[in-house]
Amino acid sequence: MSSIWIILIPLLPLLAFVANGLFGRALQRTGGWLAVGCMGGSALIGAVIFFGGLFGGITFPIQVDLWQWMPLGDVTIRIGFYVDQLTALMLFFVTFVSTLVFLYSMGYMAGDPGFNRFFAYLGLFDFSMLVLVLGDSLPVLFVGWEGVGLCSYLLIGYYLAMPGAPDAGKKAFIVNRIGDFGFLVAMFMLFASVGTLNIQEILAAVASGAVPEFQYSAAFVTFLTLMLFLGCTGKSAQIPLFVWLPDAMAGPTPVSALIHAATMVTAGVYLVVRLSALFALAPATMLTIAIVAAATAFVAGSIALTQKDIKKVLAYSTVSQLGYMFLACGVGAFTAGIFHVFTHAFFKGCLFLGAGSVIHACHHIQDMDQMGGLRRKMPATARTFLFGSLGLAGIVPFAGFMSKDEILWRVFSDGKFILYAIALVTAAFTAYYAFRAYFLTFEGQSRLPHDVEHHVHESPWTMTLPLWILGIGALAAGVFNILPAFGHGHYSAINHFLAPVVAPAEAILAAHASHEPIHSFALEILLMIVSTVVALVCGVGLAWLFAYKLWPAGASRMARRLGPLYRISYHRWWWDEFYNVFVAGGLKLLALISTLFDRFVIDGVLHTVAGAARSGSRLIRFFQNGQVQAYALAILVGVNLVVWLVLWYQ
Amino acid sequence: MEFMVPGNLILAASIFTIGVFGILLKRNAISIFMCVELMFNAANLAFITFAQSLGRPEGVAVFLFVITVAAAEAAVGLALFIKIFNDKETIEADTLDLLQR
Amino acid sequence: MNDLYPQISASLFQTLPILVLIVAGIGVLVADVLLPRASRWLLSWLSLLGVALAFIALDFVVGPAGREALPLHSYFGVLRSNYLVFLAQNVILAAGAFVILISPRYVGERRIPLGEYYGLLLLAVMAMLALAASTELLTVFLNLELLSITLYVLTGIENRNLRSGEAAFKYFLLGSFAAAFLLLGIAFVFGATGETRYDAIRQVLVDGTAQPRLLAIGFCLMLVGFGFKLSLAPFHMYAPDVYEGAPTTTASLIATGTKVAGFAALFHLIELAAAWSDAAGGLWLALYAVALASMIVGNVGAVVQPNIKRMLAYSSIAHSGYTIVPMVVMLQRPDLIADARDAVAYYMLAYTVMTLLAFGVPAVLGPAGESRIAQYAGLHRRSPMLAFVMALAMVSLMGIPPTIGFFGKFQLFAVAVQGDHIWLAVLGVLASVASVYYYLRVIVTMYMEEPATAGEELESRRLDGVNAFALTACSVCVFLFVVFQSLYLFGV
Repeated sequence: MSSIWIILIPLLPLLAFVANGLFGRALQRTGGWLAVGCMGGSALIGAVIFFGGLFGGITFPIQVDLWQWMPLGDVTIRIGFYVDQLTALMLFFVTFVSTLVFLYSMGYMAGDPGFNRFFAYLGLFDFSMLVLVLGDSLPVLFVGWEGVGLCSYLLIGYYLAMPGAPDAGKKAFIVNRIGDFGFLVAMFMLFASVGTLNIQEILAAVASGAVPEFQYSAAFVTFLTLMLFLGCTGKSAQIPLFVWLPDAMAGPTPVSALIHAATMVTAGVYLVVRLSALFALAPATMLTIAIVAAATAFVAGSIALTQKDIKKVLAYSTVSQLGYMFLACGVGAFTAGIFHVFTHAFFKGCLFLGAGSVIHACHHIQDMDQMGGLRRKMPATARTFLFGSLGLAGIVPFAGFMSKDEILWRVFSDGKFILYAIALVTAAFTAYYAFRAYFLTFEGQSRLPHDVEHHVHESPWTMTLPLWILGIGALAAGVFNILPAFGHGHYSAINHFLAPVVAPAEAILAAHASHEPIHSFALEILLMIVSTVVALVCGVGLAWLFAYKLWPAGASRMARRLGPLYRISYHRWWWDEFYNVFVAGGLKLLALISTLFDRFVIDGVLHTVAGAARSGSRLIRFFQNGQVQAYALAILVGVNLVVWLVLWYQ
Repeated sequence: MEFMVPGNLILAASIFTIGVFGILLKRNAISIFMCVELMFNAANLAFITFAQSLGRPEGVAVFLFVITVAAAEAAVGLALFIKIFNDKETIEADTLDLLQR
Repeated sequence: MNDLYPQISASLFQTLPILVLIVAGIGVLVADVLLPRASRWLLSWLSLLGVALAFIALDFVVGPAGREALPLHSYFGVLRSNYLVFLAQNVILAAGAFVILISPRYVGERRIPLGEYYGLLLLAVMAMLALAASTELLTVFLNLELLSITLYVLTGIENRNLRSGEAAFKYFLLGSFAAAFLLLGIAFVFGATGETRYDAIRQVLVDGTAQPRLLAIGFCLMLVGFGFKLSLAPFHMYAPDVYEGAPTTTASLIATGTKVAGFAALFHLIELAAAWSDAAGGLWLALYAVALASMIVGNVGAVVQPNIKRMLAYSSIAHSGYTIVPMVVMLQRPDLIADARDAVAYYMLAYTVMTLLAFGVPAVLGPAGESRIAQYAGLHRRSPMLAFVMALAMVSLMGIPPTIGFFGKFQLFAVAVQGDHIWLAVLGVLASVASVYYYLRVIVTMYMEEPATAGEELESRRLDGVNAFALTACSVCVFLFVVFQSLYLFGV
C-alpha cells in the first residue's frame, strides 16, 4: 500500500472543500457532484484498506511520515499518519457513510441558496475527521478533533435565519471547549511525563515501564485518563456535557446523520480505544467511564421515550447508544465498543436520513404528532426506516443485536450486575422509542395539515439510494462480527481483526483483574433470550400498543397515569434548566466580577498607559515646530549625546 | 603611532564650531548654507592636516572631491532658494513652517 | 602595472548594474530633450527598462555565481559585494521599480517635469546601489552626497507647491548639516588610523595602533551622518516634515531605498567597529541610546498623528530603531555578526515591502489620500483593493504573525536575546506593542468608520493597470515571503 493512497484519503475531501469553497458560485451543482466523487474516491481507498486488512493482503501498521513541524529546541513534532486495524475500520465506515450522506445531500439540499457552502463544510469536516483518525500523534489528532468541532459548529448554525440555530452552534462550541480543555491538560501531562506526543511512542514507553509516573502514581494515571475522558464526554456527548447534541439537531438533517450520529460523536470512543493501554492502567477511570456511560445511556434513553420531535428522539437515542459504546470500553470490551460504533453508523445513519426524507417531504414539519400514515406515500423511506429501527432495537439477528448483546454480555460477565440491569432496561427503552417513532410516523392515519399532505411524495433516487444501502447495512452489518457465543468466536471477524490493537490493554486488565470473568455458554444464551424478549415485548410490543393501537387516547391516559415519571422524561430531566440556573448563573456572576475588575483595574492601568503615550506624543508634536533650526539643534544635541556617552564610557 | 594635535586641528575645530553656531543663529538661508560650507571646509582642513602629518596622499584627494561635492550642493541649494524666493519672496528660514506638528 | 587592467575590467563588470543605471539615467535626461512633448510618457517605461536591465545585470549577468568568481572587492577595495549587499541591491532595485510603476499618474497630476523626475530617480537608485556596497570612507561620503543631492531635487521637484519646496529646503539644510558631521567623522577616523579603506582600517584596529579617542569620536560623528539618513532619533526631526511635503512617490523612495542602502553601509561600518575590541564598548552605548530613542520617539510620536504620511514617517523612525538592534548586539558580541547580518538583511526586505505598500496606497489615492487619516473612513467600500492592501501593510508593520513583519521582527529581537540584550528586546517588543494602536487606527478608520461629513470622504479611484500591478506584485511578495518563511520555520 503506497503511502500516497493514504494521503489521498483526507486530501480528496479537502479538494471538495477547496473547490466548493472558492469556486462554488461557478460550479453550482457540479460542485456537489465533485464532492460526491471525491468522497467516493476516498471511500474506495478506505474499503480497499479495510477489506485488504480483513482478508489479508495488507499488513498493518502502516506509518506515513509527512513532515517535521516546528523544530523547537530538542523537541521536534513529526507530522505523520498511522494506519492500523482500528484506523482501517474507522476509515472504512467514515468514508462509506460520508459518501452516502454526500449523495443524499445532493437531493436534500437541492435548491438551497447555500448549496456549495454546505458541501464545502462537509468536505472540510471529512478532511478533519480523517485527519483525526489517521493522525499518528496527539497534536495531529487534536487538529482533526478541533477541525470536526469547527465544522460541526458551522453546520449546526448553517440555517442562520432559523431561530435557535446559531445559539445551538454556540452551545455546541462552548460545551466542547470544556471537553477540549480536558484533552489539552491530558496532552500536556503526557508530554511532561513521557516526553513525546506520538501515540505509538507513548504506548510503547508506558508499556515498557520507562515512565516512572505511570508505574508509581495511580493518582497521576487516574487524573490523566479522567482528563482524557472529559474530552471524550464533550465530543461524544456523555453526562455531564451531553446537552449540546440534542440542540445540534438545528442543523440540516444530513449533517445530523453524518456528524452527530455516525462519525464525529464517536471520536471519543475512538480516542479511548486508541489509548486503551493508558485507560487500562487506571481501574478507577474505567469504573467511572462505565458508570457515567450507563447513566448516560439510561437518562438519554428515558428522555427519548416521550419526545415529539422525530430528530430529538434520534438525537437522544444517539446519546444513549454512545453510552453503550463507552460502557463497553468501561468494562474493557474495547472491540465491542468499536463494533457498536460501526453498526451504529449504519442504523442511526439510516434512521436520520429517513427522518430527513420525511422532514423534506413534509415541508420541515418535525413533530410526530402531526405525521402518521406516511408509509403509503413514501414506501421506500418507510421500509428503510423500519430496517433502521430493527437494527437499533436489537432484534435478532440484525446489526444492533450483534453489537449490543456483546456489550451486555461483557458487562454481565465482568460482574457489574447493576450496570447490566440498567443497560437491559435501556435496551427496552431503545426498542420502544425506535418503534414508537416508526409507528407514529409511518402507520395509522395521516394527521398532516391538508395543504402539506397533498404535496407529500417519495424522495428522489439520490436520497432513497443511500437509504436502501444503509438500511441493508442496518440489517446485515452484524455479519462482520457474529456473537462469539455462536461458533466459538470463529465468525467474530472484527474481534480478531482488532485484537492486535487492544491486546496490550486486555493483557493489563487480565493481569490486574480481581476475579475471573464469567464464562458460561448457557448463561450467555439465556441472557440473549432475555434481552430479545425484553426488546420485543417491552419495546416493540408496547410501542405498537401505545403508538399505534391505542394512540392517541391510550397514550395520553398512560402519560397521565405515569405522572411525574412522564414529566421527567418529557422535560428531559431538566438538565438544561439545571445548567442555566447553576452553571450559567455562576458563570454570569463570575463574568460580572471580571467585568468590574476589567473596567476598574485593567482599564485603569491601560488608560494610564495610553494617556501617558498620548501626552508623550503631544510633547513630541510640540517640539516638531517646523523650524529648521530647531531640528538642527536636535541634531546637535544628538551629536553631543553620542560623543559624550562614548567618551564617558571610555 | 603617537599623535600630536597641531594648531591646524584647533583652527579646524574653531571653524567647524563657528559653522555650527552660525547655522543655529542665522536666519537667512544663504547665510545658513554658507555656514554649512564653513563646516565642510573645516573638515577639509582637518583632512589635509592629517594627510600631512601621516604622510598619506588620500587626504588631499578627499579634499578635492569634497570641494566638488560642495559645489554641486551649492548649485542645487541655490536653485532651491530661488524657487522658494519666487513663491514666498523671502528666504528667511523661520518663515518656512508650513510643515509642522 | 600590468595587473591593473584586468582588475579594472573585472571591477567594471562587477559594477555593471550601477553602470547600467548611470547610462539609463542620462539616457532618460537626453530622451526628455529629444522626445516630442506628446510622447514623454515613454520616459517612465524607459526608466523601468533601465531598472529592469540593472536587475538583469545584477542577478543574471553578474549574478551571485559570478560574484564568487570575482574578487570580493572591486576598485581596489572601494566597493564590496557580499550576501548582504547583493540582497540590499536587489531590494533597492525592486523599490525603484515599484516607485516608477506607481509614479505615472501621480506625476501627471502634479505636473512634475518627467525628464528630471525619472532621470534623477534612476541616479538616486544608482547612488543607493553604490552606497550599499561602499567600504571606503570617501566612497561612502560621495555616494551619500550623490544620493542626497538627487533626493533634495526629487523632494522639491513639484512646481508651485510651497510644501514641496519647504520640505526640500529643510531636507537640504539639515542633510548638509549632518553631512558635515559625517565628513568630520571621516576625517577623524582617517586621522586616527591613517587609512580610508575598511579592510586596511580593520588591520590597524586589530593591530591596536589606532588613536583611540580620536577614533571613537570619528565613529560617533559618522554615526550621526548615517543616523540622519536612516532617520534615527534624535536626528529624525526632518523626517515627518520631509515625508509630508515631498511627493509621495519620492517619500516612498526616501523611506525605503535610502534606508536599505544606509543600513547596508552602516552595517559595514559597525562590522568594522566591532573589530576594534577595546573601545567598541563605548560605541555600543551610543548606538543603544539611539536605537532606544528611535523606537520610543517613533512609536510614541505616531500615536496622535492625524496625518497619514507623518504617521508613516514616525513609523519608519521606529522601524529604523528596530533594525539597528542587532548592530548594537554585534558590537559587543562579534561572534553574532552572522546572525545579526541575517536578521538585518531579512528585516530590510520585510520593511521595504510593507512600507512600499503603505506609501503606495496614498500615492495611488492622490491628493485626497495624502493628508488626514480620517479621510480614509469607509475606504473599503469605495476601493476595496486599496483598503485591503493598506490593511495588509498595517498588519505587517504591526508585526502580527504570520506576516512578513512578524518574522522580520522576530529575528531582530532573537539576535538581541542571543546577545544577552534582553532589556533591549523587551523594550523593543513593548514599543511595537504600542505601535499596534496607531496602525490599527488606520484599519479601523478604513473598515469601520463612516465619513463624518459628506465632503470628507475620498473620491473612489479606479486603479489603473500599472498601479494595480505594482500593488498586487508587492502584496503577493508579502504572501510569498510569508509562505517561504513559514515553510522554513515549520521545517518543511
